Amino acid sequence: MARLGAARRYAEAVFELATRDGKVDEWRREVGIACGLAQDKRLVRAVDSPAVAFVQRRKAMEQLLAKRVSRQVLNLALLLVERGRFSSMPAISDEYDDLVRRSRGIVGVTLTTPTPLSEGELAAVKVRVEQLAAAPVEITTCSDPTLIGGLCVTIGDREIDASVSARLARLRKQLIQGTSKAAGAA
Amino acid sequence: MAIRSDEIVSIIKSTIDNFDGAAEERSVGTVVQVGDGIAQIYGLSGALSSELLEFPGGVMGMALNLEEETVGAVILGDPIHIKEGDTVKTTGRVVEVPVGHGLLGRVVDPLGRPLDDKGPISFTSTRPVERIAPGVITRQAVDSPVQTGIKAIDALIPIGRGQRELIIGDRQTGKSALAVDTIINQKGKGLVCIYVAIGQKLSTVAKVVAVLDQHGAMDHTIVVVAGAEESAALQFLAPYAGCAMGEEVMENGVQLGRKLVKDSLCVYDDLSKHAWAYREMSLLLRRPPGREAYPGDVFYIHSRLLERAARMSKANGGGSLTALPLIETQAGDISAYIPTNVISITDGQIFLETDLFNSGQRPALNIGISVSRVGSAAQTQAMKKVAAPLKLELAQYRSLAAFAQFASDLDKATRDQLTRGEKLSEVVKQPQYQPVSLERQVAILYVATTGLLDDIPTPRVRDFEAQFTRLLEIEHAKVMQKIAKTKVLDDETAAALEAAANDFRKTFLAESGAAPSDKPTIGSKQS
Repeated sequence: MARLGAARRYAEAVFELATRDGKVDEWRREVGIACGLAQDKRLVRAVDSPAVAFVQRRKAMEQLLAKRVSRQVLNLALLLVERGRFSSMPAISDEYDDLVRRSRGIVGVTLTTPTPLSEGELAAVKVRVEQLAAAPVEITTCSDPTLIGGLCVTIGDREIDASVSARLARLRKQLIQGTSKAAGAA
Repeated sequence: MAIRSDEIVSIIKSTIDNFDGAAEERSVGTVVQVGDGIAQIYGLSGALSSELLEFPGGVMGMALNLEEETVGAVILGDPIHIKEGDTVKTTGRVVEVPVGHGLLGRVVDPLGRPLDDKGPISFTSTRPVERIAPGVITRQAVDSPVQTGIKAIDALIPIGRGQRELIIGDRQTGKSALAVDTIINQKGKGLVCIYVAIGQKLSTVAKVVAVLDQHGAMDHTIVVVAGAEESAALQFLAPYAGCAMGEEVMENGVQLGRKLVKDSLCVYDDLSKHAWAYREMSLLLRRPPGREAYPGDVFYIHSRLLERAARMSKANGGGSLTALPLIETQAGDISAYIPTNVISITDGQIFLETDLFNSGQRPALNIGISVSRVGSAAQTQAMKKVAAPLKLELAQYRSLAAFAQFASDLDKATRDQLTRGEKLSEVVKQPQYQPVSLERQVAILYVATTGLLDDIPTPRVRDFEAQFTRLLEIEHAKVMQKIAKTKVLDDETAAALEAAANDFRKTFLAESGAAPSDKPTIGSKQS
C-alpha cells in the first residue's frame, strides 16, 4: 500500500535514475532483492542501529548484497543504512512499483479471496477486472478466510467488495434499521 | 414500543426481498497519522466534504480537509483503537441524526444516541445535520410570539416564532436560567423545545434536565448533550444536530398530545464553547488561525446555523424554528470576536449584567441596550397595549434617575415619575422557574402602568403582585380567561381590572398599615 513521506521521495529519485539509464526492470528486480533482506526484522534492527559503528554496518550490507545487485542499488541500500532508514526499503519498493506501473499505464490491483484461486480462475478474474479498471492490470493476490466467499478487488483507492461477509454485514444493518424504524412507527 | 413477532417476520421478509446483493464500491484509504481525535488518511480520493467515514471497529469519522493526496478527518467516537495503517472506507452518507416524535423527553448525544436510561430511540426517519437554510421565497415575516413567561422580555423585548434572539452576558448572570424558564413556560403551548448543551459540565446538564423534569417540561423537550468531556468534533456537531431535530418539527411537525405541532425552539447553550470546539478542531487540522486564533470561517459556522431558524409561509407548511443562542462574555466585553459576530447575525439580543444581578434585579436584564429587531410585530394586542406605556415610563425613569442622583429637591412631576419608574422596575423582577402566564403579565403591567401601584411601598410590590394575581384568578376568573383566550385588552376588561385593583389596594394598604394617599413617598432607590 502506497504511503506518504520519505519512501515516496526515495522512490521518485530511484525511478528517475532508472529511466535515465533505461534500466527500469533491472532496478525493480534488484530493489525487490534488497527488499527481501528487509523482511528480516533482526537484520533491520542491526543495520539501522546507531549503536553499531557505520563502518561495520556498511561492511555487513556490502557482504550481503554486493554479489547479488548492481553498484547503484547497493549504493541505495548503503545510503539508507547510513541514515538509519533501511526499514523503509519495502515501502520504497512499493512506491517504486507504483511509479513504474503508472508510467506504463498499468493499474495495480489487489485481489483478496477466501482461498487461493487457480490459474484459470485468476485469468478469468483478470479479464473482468481489466474491463472494470479500463486499463491493463497487475494483480497481487492475497487470501483472507474471513471473507467466507466471493472476492474483494482493490483498484488504487477504489474497493469493490463482492464478498459474502460484506453482504452479510449489509443485510444485518438493513434488518436492524428495519426493526428500529418499525419500532418508531409502532 | 414493543413489536409483534409477525411484524418482525414481515420486516425480515421485505428486507430479504429487497436486498441488493450486488458488489458495493467504496473509496478506501489508509490512516497515516492519528492523534488528538484527528486522523490523516492517505487515499480516499472519492471522499466528499463532511462525508461520514468508517474506521475499523465501527468507529465513524467525518472528512473535513480534502487535500491532494490525503484527507483530514475528525473521529466521532473513541479514537483509542485507531492506529496507523488502518483501512478507512467512505460510506456515501453525511452525518445524520434520528428525528421525530420518539426523541421527545429524551437526552441524546449529537449523533442521536440515547444518554438516558429510557432504552433505544424509536425513529422513522433521519436527517442530515448540515443543511442549507430555507430560502427567501419559502419564508414569511415573524408574526406570532414565543411567550417566554418572563415579564421583562415578553413586554419589552418580545421574541417571535422564527426569530433568533441572542442571550448574552457574563458567567453566572442567569443566561441558562432565562432559557430554561422559557422552556418551562412552553408546557401546553404547542412549541417543541430543543436544549443543546455544548461543552458544559455534566452536573450542570443533569441539573437542567432534573429541573425540566420536575416542572413537567421534558414532555415537549429534547436535550442534546455534548459535554465538556466529549471530543471537540461532537461538541461542534451538537447545535447542528439539535437544529436538524427542530427542522423536522418545523417542516413535518410532531404529535404533541393530540395536536400536530409545527413550531420549535432551539436553545444553543452556549455558542462561545461551540466556537472554542471549532477552534480546537481547526488548529489540530492545521487550518490557518486568524483573530483570537479562530479560523477564518468561524463566522460562517454560526451564520449557517442561525440562518436555519425560520418562519415558513403558509404555502410551505407554516412551521417555525426559533433560535435562542447563548454567548458567554468575559468581564462584560461584548466587543470580543465571537460576541460581535453572533450579535450581528441575530435579530436582537438580551443583555444580562453582573452588576444588575448582584443588586437584586433578576432577571438581570439591561433593558436599555437589549433589543428585539422584530419588535412589537411578535406581540399580542393585549401585551402591546400595556408594553407601550411601560417602555416609555422606564426609558424616562432611567434618564431621570441618572440625573436626579445629584439633585436634592425635585418638583412633584419628577418625583412622581421616579416613583412610577421604581414600581415598574420592581414589577419586572421575577424569581427563577416561575414563568408568568400572558393574562397575569397583562393584568399586573396594566395596573402598574396606570399608576395604581404608586403608593404601595416598593419592597411590598411583589407581595401585592402575588396576592393580586391570585385574587384575580379566583374572583375574576372570567376576565383572566377572556384575556387568555382573545389576547386582547378591550376597554371593558381594562375597567374590570382597574376596579379589582382599586378594591384590593385598599385592603392591602390597610393590612400593611399605610393609608392610601395621593402623595406617594419615594422609597429606597433601585438600580
